[in-house]
Amino acid sequence: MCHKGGFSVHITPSALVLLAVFLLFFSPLLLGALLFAALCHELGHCAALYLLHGRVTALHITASGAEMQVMGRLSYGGELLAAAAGPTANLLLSLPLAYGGRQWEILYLFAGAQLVLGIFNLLPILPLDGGSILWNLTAWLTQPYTADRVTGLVSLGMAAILTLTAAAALWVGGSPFLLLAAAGLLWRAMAANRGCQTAAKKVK
Amino acid sequence: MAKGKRIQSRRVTPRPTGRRAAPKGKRQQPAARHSKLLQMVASAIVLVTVVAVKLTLPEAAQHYGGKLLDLIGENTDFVAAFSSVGRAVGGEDLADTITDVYTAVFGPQKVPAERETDRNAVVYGSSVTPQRVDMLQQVLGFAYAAPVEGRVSSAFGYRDHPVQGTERFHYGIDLACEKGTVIGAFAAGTVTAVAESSELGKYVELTHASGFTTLYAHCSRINASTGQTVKVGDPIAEAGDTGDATGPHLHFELHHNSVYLNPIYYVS
Repeated sequence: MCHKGGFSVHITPSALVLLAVFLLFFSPLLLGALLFAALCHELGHCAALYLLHGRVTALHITASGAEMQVMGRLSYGGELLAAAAGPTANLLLSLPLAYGGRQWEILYLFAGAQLVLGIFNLLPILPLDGGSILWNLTAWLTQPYTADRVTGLVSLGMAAILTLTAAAALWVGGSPFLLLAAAGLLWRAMAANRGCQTAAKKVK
Repeated sequence: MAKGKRIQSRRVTPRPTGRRAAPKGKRQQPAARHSKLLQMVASAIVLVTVVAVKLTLPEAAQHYGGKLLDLIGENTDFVAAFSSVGRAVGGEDLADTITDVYTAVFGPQKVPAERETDRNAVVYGSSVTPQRVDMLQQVLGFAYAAPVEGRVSSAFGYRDHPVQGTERFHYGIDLACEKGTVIGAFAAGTVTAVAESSELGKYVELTHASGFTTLYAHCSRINASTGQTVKVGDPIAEAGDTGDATGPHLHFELHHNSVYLNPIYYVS
């Protein structure tokens, strides 16, 4: 945890444990490709925030990803752009990397990691960028309350579909890690919906 | 709302859900801070230990890492899966990509029945001298090394099949070795098949220079993926007794343009 000027970086213990698990199980090459894609992703967000004059005050690195804290508020449109910038950076970078793969085989791995990361983040499930885009879009067109309900339900539905798919994949012989990730998203979506309902009751 | 909103972003990584960091600015209780520090130290120790083991004992780390993955049923080859996706962006055929990703995610598949019967017909045909066999030593023209050190428990040629009981031609040699023995690539080349069949068990096929291919069967675990390039002696699999086998051994075949050669000249 280091503090530099008005900017701080927080790393949770869970993130370190996850990194250890990755190092133990997977090749350093795969880890490198994923971390590079994650870095490009965050830089995409940063670039958009910089252009929108948002000031990043903190970076939280947790087992479930990185999260940026921004000073002040952006407009719905601005926040939508900032959320979309991360996956966009990944998708755009995968093109030249894949082109380079014809020359150096290894770049295909890096291109694939960029693409998988970008597309996964575009899923409309709330902690992911796709969910953020959906929320801001709905809030922009209607109102935040509707956005909460719509995004909550879409997240829940998508997370449920993802979990079922991962479970089916595991049954056929896929990776248990995918199910773990999907179940985590489903858990968060369910918790968020429960919170939303109790808030609605209080209003009544 | 003074604190401002968060832009959230995530990595796609197989991961457990983590607890969020405590909101910045809220003062933590000393006890909470203490336990948080303890967690941090414990996690850092785990990380440093793994890094240290990886650096000092890379082979042991790979071996036990693989064992643990087997235990939880993990057989997804993420490197191969991501590479296939990358290749798709680079303009490879979509159908090929889907097949490659499927193989990478769900592990080596059973060979289609058609190919297996074809293989049976070739490998264990009638007792007539097989046509596609050359008993003479050939000059390979590249560096090679025995895939494992082991006693030849069954030689190339006619023998009584240990499982089927009838006399059949044995198209490779069997090298007796312990389960888990690391199998090295016979020579530099490319991995052209990673698959599983009822007879050969888990097997790998490598393609080398000038039309030579080698096959390694009855493996307990395959550590290579299709398309990977290997150097002579690179670990590609671990010996075992999958498929039609009475004990752990490596069934090793050497082909030259679909002619079966006697590997005995090259493994001792």
